[in-house]
Amino acid sequence: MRALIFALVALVSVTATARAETCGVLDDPRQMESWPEAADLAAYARDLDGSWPTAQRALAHVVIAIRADDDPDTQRLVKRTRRILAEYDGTEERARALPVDELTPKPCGDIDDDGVPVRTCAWSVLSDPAIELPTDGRCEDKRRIGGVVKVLRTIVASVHAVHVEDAALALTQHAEAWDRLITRGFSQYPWEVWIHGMLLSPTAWGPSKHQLIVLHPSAGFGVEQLSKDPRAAAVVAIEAAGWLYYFRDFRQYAGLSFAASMSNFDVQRWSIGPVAHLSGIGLGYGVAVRGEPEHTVFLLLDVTSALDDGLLEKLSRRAVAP
Amino acid sequence: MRLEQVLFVIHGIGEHADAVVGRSDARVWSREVVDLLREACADYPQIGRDALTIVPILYDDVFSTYQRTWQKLAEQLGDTPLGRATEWLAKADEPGFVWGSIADIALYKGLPAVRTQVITEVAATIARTIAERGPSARYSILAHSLGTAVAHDVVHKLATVPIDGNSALMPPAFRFDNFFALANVSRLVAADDPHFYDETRVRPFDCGLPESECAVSHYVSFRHVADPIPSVVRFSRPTWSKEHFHRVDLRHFRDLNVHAFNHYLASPRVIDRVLYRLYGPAAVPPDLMRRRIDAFTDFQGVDADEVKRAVSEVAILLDKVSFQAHGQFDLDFVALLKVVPLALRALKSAVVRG
Repeated sequence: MRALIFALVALVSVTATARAETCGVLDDPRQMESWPEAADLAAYARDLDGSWPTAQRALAHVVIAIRADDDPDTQRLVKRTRRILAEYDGTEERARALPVDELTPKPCGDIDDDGVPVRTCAWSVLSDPAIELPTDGRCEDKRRIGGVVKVLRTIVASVHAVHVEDAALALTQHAEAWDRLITRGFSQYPWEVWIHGMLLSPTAWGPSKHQLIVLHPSAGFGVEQLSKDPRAAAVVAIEAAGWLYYFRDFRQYAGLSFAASMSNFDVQRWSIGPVAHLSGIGLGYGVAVRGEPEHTVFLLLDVTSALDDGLLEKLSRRAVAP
Repeated sequence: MRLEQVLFVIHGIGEHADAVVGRSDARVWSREVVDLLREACADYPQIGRDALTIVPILYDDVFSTYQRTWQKLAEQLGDTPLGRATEWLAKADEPGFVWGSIADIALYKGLPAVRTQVITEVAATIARTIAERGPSARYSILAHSLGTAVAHDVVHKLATVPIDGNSALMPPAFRFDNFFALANVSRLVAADDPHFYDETRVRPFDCGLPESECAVSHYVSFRHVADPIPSVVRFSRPTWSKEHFHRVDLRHFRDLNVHAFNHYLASPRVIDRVLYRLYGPAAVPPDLMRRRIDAFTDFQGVDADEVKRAVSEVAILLDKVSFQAHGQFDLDFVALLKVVPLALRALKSAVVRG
């Protein structure tokens, strides 16, 4: 009986030893930040010997991922990293020889319809893309692989961060340009907004500096009958067609349009002529189309103009009524 | 020290102005959504209430600005002979279903300039956050309704168009960890594009695109079976990898507005799944997740059976009119026009009886 018990104990011990080693925090790739820093990259690379294919595949994948970045600064770092890795007997050659397809990620685990995993993910070196390592990997291997990956990722991240800042700044400037266009640029009716969109390239992030004016009604204030009996008049104008150009980063604009205008709401007294625009103000000139060639000059204050805010309405009310 | 998880939250149609101050503010519209996420985080001790960095993004102030301009133009011409031609714009800035909700979709889809501006503004917010937090943090997107189309377009453009020659936010240099789409209408908004699934970069690995071009690592699309908005033209790509792309159908009922952002988040099948994808099994243990899902009842109250039946009826109706854009099913417009009010009436009467 005692012999049987000893045999059972021995059997259990052997079984326990053969079971996968659990490595605590090293088993969760999301805890990567807590792994020890790799102080000496070459030393870690050398220590990876003996873990092929898992550790070396991971390292090779990191090298290939970094190599995919065309940035000159990153490429300099890649060259330096390659020199270090070249000290490690053949890793670089093996990395180059590996087809990229072999490094596609493996499934991380089956889940049920509610999204609950039915088995947990195996440990991954990189969260993106993941490389699944067998759960019976040695903890020491995991620590060393994690250290190498962490150093390489830190190097790449620091180079990448500079370019991300540049990208963020560029996008912010484009967003501000759009904001200035629609809040302080020449107002656009829906059909004009549609036209502005047609001027944009699909790869554009910012607005076009050109704006077309198309069938744009507006109201203003002017002086009619300049040659006979000048008098103030409320004016409505339809700018049939025109063009504006934005400068100073969409802070100002200038342009020209061709308009039909009507004084004091008299449909018998239409004039046609040009309108010159400069940042919120339109200065128009019209010649009557019927009867004697009477002249009108008028001012249009765009609704987005800083000078607007009810001023135009007040001026229009003061116009002499027909 | 755990990797920082950053979740961009993008709203859908509707107004997101502060009723008191009368302006749009990202923090205001997202208060309820953020609270729901924080409460769920607090239920997992390994995560903690404040661990998740939530970045709400506002974009409908673009629509509001255009609408305000059009209203001013109409007012300027109001007393003139041209006033009648522009009086339809006079109510552009007033709150309401037409100008507040329907107009959002019309402006986004119909006016390329508006769409480009919205994409640029959202992308700028995302890029600034990534620049502040650093590339070592992990970034995911949670979008709702029209926000799913906006988020899709933003991610696709970031993945395909350099920013003034800068490719720092393009894969493989950068990709989003997760793309969570609630009431996914990205396919609906692009219903006129027969190549949508073939050309989008907003897809994860093993979905027909080289790994180096995928803009997201994981994609989950959520749809409530009684929500007509994402049901008419459904986001559905059966050939995509089942490991990295999931479609989740929901049946729970807590409010007549089953389309609402917080209604989707009310179910642990949504919110716990989001947290699992962000934090993994160490922080979101599968057994705890399972218990939370099992403890949640889809239908509550005295007439739970009545409501359940109503939801099922609506789901069946919506299945009949579902339209896979460009190719697979025919769209019966007449049936669609009949179904939506029927569906709403069925739900409403079930609620009244309940």
